[in-house]
Amino acid sequence: MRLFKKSTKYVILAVIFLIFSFPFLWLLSTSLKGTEEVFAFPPKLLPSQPNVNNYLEVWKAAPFEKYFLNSIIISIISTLTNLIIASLSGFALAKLHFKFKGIFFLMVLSAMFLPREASVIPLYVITLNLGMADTLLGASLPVAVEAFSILMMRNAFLSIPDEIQEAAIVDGCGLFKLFYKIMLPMTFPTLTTICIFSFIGAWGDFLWPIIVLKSQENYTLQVGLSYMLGTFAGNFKYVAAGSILALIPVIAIFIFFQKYFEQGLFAGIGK
Amino acid sequence: MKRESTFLFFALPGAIFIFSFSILSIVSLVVFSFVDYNVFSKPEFVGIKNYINLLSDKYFWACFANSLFITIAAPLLVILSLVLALLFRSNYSRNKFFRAICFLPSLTPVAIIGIMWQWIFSEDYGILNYLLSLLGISKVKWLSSSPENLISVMIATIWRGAGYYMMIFLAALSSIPKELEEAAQIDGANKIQIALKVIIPNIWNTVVFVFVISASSAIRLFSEMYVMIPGLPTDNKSLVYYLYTQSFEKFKLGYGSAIAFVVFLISLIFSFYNFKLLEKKNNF
Amino acid sequence: MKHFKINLVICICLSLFFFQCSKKKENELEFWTLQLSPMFNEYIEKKIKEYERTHPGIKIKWVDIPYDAAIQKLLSSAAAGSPPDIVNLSADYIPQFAQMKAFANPADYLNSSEINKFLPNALRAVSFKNQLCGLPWYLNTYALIYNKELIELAGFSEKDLPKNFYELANFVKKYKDKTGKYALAWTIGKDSFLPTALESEGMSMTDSNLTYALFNSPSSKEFFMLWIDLFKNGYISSDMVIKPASYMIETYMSGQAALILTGSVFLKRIKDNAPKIYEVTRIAPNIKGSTGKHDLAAMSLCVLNTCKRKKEAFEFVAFILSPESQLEFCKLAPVFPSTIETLKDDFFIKYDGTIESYARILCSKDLLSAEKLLAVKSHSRYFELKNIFEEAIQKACLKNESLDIALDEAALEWNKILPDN
Repeated sequence: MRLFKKSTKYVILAVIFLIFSFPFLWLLSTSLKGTEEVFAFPPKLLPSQPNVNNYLEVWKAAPFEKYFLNSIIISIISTLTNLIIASLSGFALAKLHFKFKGIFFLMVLSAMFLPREASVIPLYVITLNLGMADTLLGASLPVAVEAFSILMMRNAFLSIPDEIQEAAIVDGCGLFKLFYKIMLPMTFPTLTTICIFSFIGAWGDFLWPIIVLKSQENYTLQVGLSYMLGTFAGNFKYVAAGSILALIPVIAIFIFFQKYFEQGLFAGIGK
Repeated sequence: MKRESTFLFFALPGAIFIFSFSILSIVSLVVFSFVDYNVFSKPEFVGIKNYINLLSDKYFWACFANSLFITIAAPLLVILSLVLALLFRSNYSRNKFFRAICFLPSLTPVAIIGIMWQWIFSEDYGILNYLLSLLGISKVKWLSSSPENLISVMIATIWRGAGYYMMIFLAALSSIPKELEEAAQIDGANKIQIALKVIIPNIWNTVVFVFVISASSAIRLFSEMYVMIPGLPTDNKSLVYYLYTQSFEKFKLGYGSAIAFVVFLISLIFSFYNFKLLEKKNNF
Repeated sequence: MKHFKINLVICICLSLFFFQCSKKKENELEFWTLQLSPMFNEYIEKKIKEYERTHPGIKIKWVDIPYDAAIQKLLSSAAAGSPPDIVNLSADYIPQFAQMKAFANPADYLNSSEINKFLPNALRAVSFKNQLCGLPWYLNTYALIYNKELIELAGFSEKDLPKNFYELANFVKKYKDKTGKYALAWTIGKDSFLPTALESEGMSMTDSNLTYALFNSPSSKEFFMLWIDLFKNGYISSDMVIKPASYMIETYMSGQAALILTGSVFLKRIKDNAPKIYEVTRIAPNIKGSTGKHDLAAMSLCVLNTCKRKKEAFEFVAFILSPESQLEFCKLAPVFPSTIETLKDDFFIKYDGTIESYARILCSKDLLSAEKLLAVKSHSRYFELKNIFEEAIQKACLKNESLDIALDEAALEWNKILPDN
């Protein structure tokens, strides 16, 4: 009886493992195949002669270095902007008192109710009028600031006891120093979480880049890959290799910053 | 030093960003829905013409229905992610590994999700149809006929979201006092009974919460469909995909804004409900 | 004090940031042409230089675009906020952009004497809902090119050549009966000429608003049936049903066809590739159908509404399209001008003994009765519609399906797609 229970447990675990890992592994396997094998039917599970040809050729099949660079630039700009704005605004909302604080807070809250899908059209027009359409700046700035990050930083600052602030002022510390040298470092875990999620979000962003980027030289990895998929079916091995390459940063961040993921969701969503 | 102007410095950048890109967006959205606008000519005020056309637009209703169909993914997601959370609650290293595996799809860029699943669902080369053929089922047109294309997109979405919602449930589960479960165990309940009678009622708020956000997300589905199944006939698209083609392929930005406003309202209803729920729990 | 300075700097940066920064210089006009490079490099550059000389302060930036990418590029550039100012478009592309009010009306910027220089049918070709969208540039039309030797061998003379499509069908029959060979290299099943022929004969593929199909009306069906019957009875080859338009001239050059309907521009190709056939090649007026109309291909120059210096842009357009400029252009390439005066030049009137000049004279006369036919070409899903129609014709020919049913089914499909414009 117990053996039956145990083996069913292992079967279930194996199934779950397969379900969640198979698409990745299948993509990986496809990326290591040569053309005939990619389109072989019945499909072969493993390439008979795995080679990294596709990984080398993908750089020629499309301006892949540009795509990579653009993705990096956009992700960095988005992340930095989000970090800076979120910490400044979070601090202001948590620790400072000023006339329009209530309105500002309300604005941040309302911003959370606006889904990206609905806002793309006005965002696009605004971006167009700012002269940022089809630029990397236009692909990163309008969507960089997440209202949620501001709230997270606000919460993080709120949890710093007021005594610290008072003690620092008594010591003659200026406001900026207070913010920069004392308060901000105390929110380091939240900052890291925001940084990670912001980067991954910007890296994987699709809806906005595909609308605002029109010239091939400005495409991000995601946009470029989706267009490569569309051009002709024979391209798929390059798309597979390119996708794996595009996944590497995400997986790397995931492995190295494991603990922040569990933390981030716990902190954010609420118990 | 404590001048208010300095405080404004802290708040101003954020205020400008939030105002320009969020508040202004909502307002502009409404304004645009009352005009005809494309990239070539100046906007022309047309009153509620866009909304009237929307009501009689059969493509709009078809796409709306498609998106509603996709919302079926929500309850499935809730169940799946809850089961995963229950399975991998305890902090053994094996569970940590599984949690990581399940969560990885949530981090994966949507476009790559679309690429992966398009390849799996491919009618002629996909491994799914091959496996089905071994069971004697003939080729399913996962990507070219309706409603199969909606189902394939749903599967990709569920696969993607399960890990994310599992994390939310894990957080909720960790807040259940151990004594409750222990008491039930002493009473002789087995794992499933404990789950159903003790655990779920205690995290019911979270269950509803996850249901609402996954439904809200499903009804706004776009990217997976765009990447997986380009070249769909207009009436097989999702609501947001229809929005996209009207706005950015046909450049009917005014009409697209009317559609976007509908999407906004729908999402607003979902978020508002959830906001009330959170408020109840957290005293925001 | 420190804070004030920082605040000021930030405010300045932000305001610079949020001010509209135009990508284009104020005194530059971007001018797009369709595949004129490299052949017309000298000509265009010369014209630009002349214009810039007489209009100091304006620079023209010339960009040449491949034909297929034109629509997409125009849309993307507008979507990216940097559309061109002046664009050379095929008249077929005008309606879909005109619907978006993309074009400035030349009548608003040029006086009527400028506009009246153009052929009225050419002006009609570049109009949408009776509003001018640009001005016509170079035109083209078809002619009936025939092999005199083969025609005479079959016992025909020039006066027997068909003047409408019903006569064409008859001619094809009689020719085969007499000689056992195919008279005509045309296309009905792929890149089909049947739709334009239909419209020449006074019927229509759709209603004028492009909302429903009309090609399955009884009279249209009758017309199409003529050709299906010709095929079924062996009077026209299967090539006509399955091959794309490019086969026509090949067949003619190998002496396998006595007649083709194509642009006079192909005479040069015949001359270069099949000199013996060229010697016996003659040209007759295009088949016009009962309406007296035949298809007109028009290229236009349009100024976009987004252009910030429309007056100067139209002056450039008027300059390129001036009768003298057009005469020069038409001497460089076998196309026809859109200005009335140019057509009166000896170049289009005096016969110099060559078949080219004869063709030129004939076609320029024919130009006056040419009209842009087939409004459905402007539909955004035209290729799908074209395929559906052509498949119906092919099914009726090759699969023995009833033409009636095939056309009715195709019409149903069209009616589903047409509203999605």
